[in-house]
Amino acid sequence: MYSTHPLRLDYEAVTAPAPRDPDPSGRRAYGAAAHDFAAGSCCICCPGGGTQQCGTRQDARRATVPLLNLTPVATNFNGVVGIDHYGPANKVVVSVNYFAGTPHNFDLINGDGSHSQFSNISGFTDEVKIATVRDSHAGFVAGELFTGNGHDGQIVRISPDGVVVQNPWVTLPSGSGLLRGSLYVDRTGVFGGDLIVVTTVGRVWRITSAGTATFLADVGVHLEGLITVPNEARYGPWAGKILAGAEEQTRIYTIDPQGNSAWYNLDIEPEDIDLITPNENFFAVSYDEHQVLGATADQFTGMIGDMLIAEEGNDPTHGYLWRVYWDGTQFQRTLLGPRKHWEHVTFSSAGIPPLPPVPTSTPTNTPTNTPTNTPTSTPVCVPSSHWCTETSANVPSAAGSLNGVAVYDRNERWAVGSVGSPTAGPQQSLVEHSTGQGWAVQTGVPNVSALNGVAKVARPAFTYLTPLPGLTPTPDLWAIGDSGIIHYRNGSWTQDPTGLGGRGITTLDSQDMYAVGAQIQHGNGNGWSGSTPVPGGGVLNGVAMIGTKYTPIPQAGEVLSTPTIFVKKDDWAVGYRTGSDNPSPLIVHQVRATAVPGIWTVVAVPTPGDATSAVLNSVDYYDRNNVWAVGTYHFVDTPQNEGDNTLIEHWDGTAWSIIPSPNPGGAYNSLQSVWYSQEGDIWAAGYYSNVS
Amino acid sequence: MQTLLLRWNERSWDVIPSPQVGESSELHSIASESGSRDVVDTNAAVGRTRASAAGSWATLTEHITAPSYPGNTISYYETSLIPNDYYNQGCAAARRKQAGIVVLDFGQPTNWSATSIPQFGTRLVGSQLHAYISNGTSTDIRHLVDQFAKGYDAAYTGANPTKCTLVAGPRQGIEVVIATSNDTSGNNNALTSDHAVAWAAMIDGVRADTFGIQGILAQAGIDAEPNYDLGYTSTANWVNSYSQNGHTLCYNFGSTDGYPNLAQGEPTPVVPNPYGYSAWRVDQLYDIATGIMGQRPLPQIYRPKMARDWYRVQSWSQTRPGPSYAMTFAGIMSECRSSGCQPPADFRQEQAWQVFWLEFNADPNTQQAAPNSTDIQCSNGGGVGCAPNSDITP
Repeated sequence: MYSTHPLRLDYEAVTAPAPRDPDPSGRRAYGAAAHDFAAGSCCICCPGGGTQQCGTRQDARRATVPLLNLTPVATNFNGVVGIDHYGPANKVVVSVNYFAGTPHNFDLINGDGSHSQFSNISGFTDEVKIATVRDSHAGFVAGELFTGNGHDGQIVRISPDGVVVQNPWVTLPSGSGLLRGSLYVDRTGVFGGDLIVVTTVGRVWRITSAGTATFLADVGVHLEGLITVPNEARYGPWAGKILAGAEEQTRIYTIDPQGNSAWYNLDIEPEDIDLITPNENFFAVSYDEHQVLGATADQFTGMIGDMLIAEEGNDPTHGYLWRVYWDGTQFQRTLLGPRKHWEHVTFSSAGIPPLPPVPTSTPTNTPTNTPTNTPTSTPVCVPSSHWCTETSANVPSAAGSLNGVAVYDRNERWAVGSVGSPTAGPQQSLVEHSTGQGWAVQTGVPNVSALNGVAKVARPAFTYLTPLPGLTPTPDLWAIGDSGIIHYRNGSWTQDPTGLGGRGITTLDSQDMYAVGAQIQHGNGNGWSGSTPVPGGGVLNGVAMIGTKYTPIPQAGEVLSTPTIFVKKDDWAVGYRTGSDNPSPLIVHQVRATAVPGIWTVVAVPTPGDATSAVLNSVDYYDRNNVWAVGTYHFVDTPQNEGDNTLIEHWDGTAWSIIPSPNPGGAYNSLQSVWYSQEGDIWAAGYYSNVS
Repeated sequence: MQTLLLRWNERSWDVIPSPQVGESSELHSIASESGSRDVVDTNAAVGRTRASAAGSWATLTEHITAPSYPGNTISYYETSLIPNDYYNQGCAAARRKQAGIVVLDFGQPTNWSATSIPQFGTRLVGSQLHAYISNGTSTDIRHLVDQFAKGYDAAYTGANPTKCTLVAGPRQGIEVVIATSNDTSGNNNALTSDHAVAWAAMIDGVRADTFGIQGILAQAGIDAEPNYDLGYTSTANWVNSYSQNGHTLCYNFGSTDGYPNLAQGEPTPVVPNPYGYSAWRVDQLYDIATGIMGQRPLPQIYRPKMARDWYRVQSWSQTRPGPSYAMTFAGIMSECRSSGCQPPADFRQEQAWQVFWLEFNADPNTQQAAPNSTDIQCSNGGGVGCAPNSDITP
């Protein structure tokens, strides 16, 4: 998703402005860029700082491999730092509430992206890193956690259920440094499956399950990021060794089982190091954004077994996710993720929407888009947009569909539609009501066949009508069906005998409204006045009345706060022309100064060049110069390439023009409704399909 | 079929991820409450869904759910020069267990000197009192902020139980943002580089004074609003000077005062914004909020459009030619308690943060944690303009 903004990743030529300081405690003197990454500059890949060329930094930064599609899976953390897979629940565990560790230290990320406290541990200070045991072995129990507590050399052991806490479990000799370095449970066997730790002063230890610590090395610099590398030839000189990062030096240290160390400079500032594991989703802590991002397992195809290194981004040239591998001659790296303040990362089989869980037994390719679930009463939410399903209501044993919605406030929402299938006989009217406690089917609704639209008696301008404290205006709604118009007032629905069936309906106030379909009808509160043919010949699906200047009529529970006399202006209706096999878009318009209907005229509307037919379904406005209409058009570019695309048109006060719109479906895209709030928020809704 | 939601971002249409249920799902209509501040979770989209291709259609309803609100601190338009008032503010912040950013806004930058030797200070909001940055008295800004810190500290140490009763539990960290504005109106205004130098020295002094008070960290702030300084240059001079001379972050809690204007050379959008333009270009708004080193945005949000205006700045910064730096919003400032949350349009505190969060996080390119939320009120309990004896109850 970041590949559309490649310039964000290009910091090499930084001169001004200066970068942000990620540390609120003070300002760091970044000044000019600390490195010169001009083409031809060296990327050191040899132990101890040799001079072997491995391509330029510039080239690597501009690598053309696709970046990971990283999606927030859990948000709104406070001070999230450490992360690891938590096997007992197939979840992800994180450390939170940096720096003080209060009110608690650990959260589990749940399957819906929410997170909740794990264990009652609190007060572990500094950066709390986590190592979990994946599989029981050599006295370690699957699901156990190891961490530091913010005290010199102290390691904590936590039972899989988070209840039993050995604090400290092991205390390394004085001066060993904090465990904010990193901890890792060896999975290669090279180090006997021991717990490996590296510290803030650069010391490396291995600890058995019995708590016996063995000193391995002291490299004299803050180490952070830790992994043990399988003893396989594909890893070149790193095979069978510990990797630990030294971000201050842009170095990666290796430590072998005998404690011998060497370093490599890939111009990466390691914050964390992981092996890319098969069939596991990727999760990364984005500290500044207070969230955990995820990428699906399938995105790592072709990288399994390689190293993934995250940078914290202490200067403007770092802060990325890198893939690092040995090509048989030297180490190579490719850019995987955008610049952020990354903390620790992990791979896990956990699924957190939109990332599906990954079966541990069989490989799978999983979609990366929004969650797909079977219908359920449990809300399905998209974490990024916070759109969720609600528990909807249906008539038992009958098909149901909703075609229109009107909202007074969160506790007064109405939806209309149909019961039954058009292929199984006449459809019945369906009205649902939500008072904030879920939707309920309304009974006693007159049947005018399928209801196609609903309009509340408008609150036209936000400065004019103010609900009185504690009072909610009595709902006053009109709905139009295939065979008539119904009205809700004083707690019940009645059919208006003067109304004809149609497709769309809107109101300006309780005495001025329009209904459209195969004809145009005007309502004045006392009935619907006859039938006006659609100019140009066609069917109208949607109608909007621009009452920007008029006198609103207060309802019960409202007060007119701005008693100004206004003048009515424009009305628009949209649909399609009939008369040929291929419908074309139709827009009609009238201007009037009173509530008396005017004369509707056809307004020219452009169609896409490759359209063979087009339909407009809905219209809404902000003011006289900002009216939007949405719909669908069919195109045939070649006999092998045809389909339906969204169609969005905009009126600027002078003419209608086509505004480019997304078409996520490969075969079919349609917009059914547009909504323009008084605050200028414009939404459109519809559906798409990749199946032709 | 899959549901499709689009939203106009003032320049183009974005796909907004929406839940998919069953084998197929469609949206047929969308609406929200119109003409209200309650915009966060009143949206509704309806349609139909079915579990399998052979199954029956069932109704489908979707809506936005408000993200979880982190809570807010209380900031102040300072109207007083009485040290004890600040002590009480600090004590109250601790007693409320507030964590995050607390802005102490001392108002318009001024030079009170009648001679060539400047005496920089501010004109307090509402009361119009003359405050001095640092003149060695107990009522200069430096010492007033010191009193805030002492009040905060006393709450946790119990050092002065008659004035501030002891608070149990660990300290919650507060960034005390010592702020002025870019108001260039009236006499004695001094939105100048030299004023910024003096401001930086004063904040260094506060940091020295409060060194050792755990949980207090002094930062700078400026209420930078285009309508205060239509020409922009004076604001840029002040901010650049603070950047060069200060040693702390500087939070910009201003507004855009309209839709950010086009950057030089930027093409006119296909649909011009109908709501009125800011006096400042988008690049200028970006620089004052992020582009100048040390600046960090904490924008005022009390209408939906204000969040969208900042979204425009953020999204522009990501597509501009040349290097740019991601805007990391420290959070937002609401003005509920100083404006009285006037209905129907002004947000309540949580609505301000929720609307901002939704505005930025629906777009994967602009996602923000916005961890802080602070609501600014007049320290004298006044309403709009901090006029005393207002009917707004603090």
